[in-house]
Amino acid sequence: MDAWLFEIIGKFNYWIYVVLMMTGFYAMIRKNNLIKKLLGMNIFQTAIILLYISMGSKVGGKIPILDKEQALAGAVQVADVVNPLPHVLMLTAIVVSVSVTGVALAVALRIYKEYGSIDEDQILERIGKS
Amino acid sequence: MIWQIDLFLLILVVICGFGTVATRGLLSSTIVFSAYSFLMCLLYAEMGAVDVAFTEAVVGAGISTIFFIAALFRSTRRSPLIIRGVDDPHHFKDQGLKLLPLGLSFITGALLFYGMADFPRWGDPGSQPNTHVSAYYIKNAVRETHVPNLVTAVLGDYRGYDTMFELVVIYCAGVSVVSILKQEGEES
Repeated sequence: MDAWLFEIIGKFNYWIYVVLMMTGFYAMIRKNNLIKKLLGMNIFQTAIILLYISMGSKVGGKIPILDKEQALAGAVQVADVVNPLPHVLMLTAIVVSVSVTGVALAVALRIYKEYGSIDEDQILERIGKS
Repeated sequence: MIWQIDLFLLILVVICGFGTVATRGLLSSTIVFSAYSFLMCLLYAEMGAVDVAFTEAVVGAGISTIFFIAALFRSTRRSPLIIRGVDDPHHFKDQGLKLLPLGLSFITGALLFYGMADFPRWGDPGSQPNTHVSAYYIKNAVRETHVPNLVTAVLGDYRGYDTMFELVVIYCAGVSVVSILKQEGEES
């Protein structure tokens, strides 16, 4: 029983990462609505962020803000502090993701102004007609 | 890092993620997505990534939701799934294609599950990502930069150019949004 639980705790974050990423992927390719596709894209991105943050965590690790005196004295143990590098990378990823969302929503609005719809089928229909 | 909270939050996150995709109305879908983002932010904070949690709360949950609601306000709130009835010509055409994306997602997910055997155990201090480069930063970053927050030290000092050109990305995004929406104003 304990070994079973141990196995689950060790991999559960990664399982959820795959499930969320595939949810986003499904929404991106299956949904006809452009806004729904963008929500799916956002879910996809947050799932990847979850993967990176999960890889950087340590059992019993503290947040990566150190006591300055202690750090200057060289008394910080590496195993006590959470890995800060994935956090830095993911800060960049969050900012890029919101930029992408903004531009994509602007394009979706432009499409709506042009064709009067944000549904893929209706847009294709109207492109075919004109 | 407390695994009970982590498991609980992860289950809630999956429920909210499914809810975002399954909800029909676009506005309610956006609100569920906002809840999803806030739960995700709790999850980051719980794993010790406080800076990422702040940014996710402000940018992911706050600004993204505002963008989506603003876009819905200017276009249409109704998801075409509600409008589309049985007499719609696309209604039957879609049925055959419905299984393809589902199957594709399942196959990709299965491949990812297969590859997961190589992943390090969650929270293992001796795993590959936690041992090689990051030890240097944890030991020396405060001495070299005099910034107690390691994430800020790496972001603003070691990777300063990266952060600077991130501003260029945001600037480009702003310029493209303005130019995309401006064109439409000139034509009408």
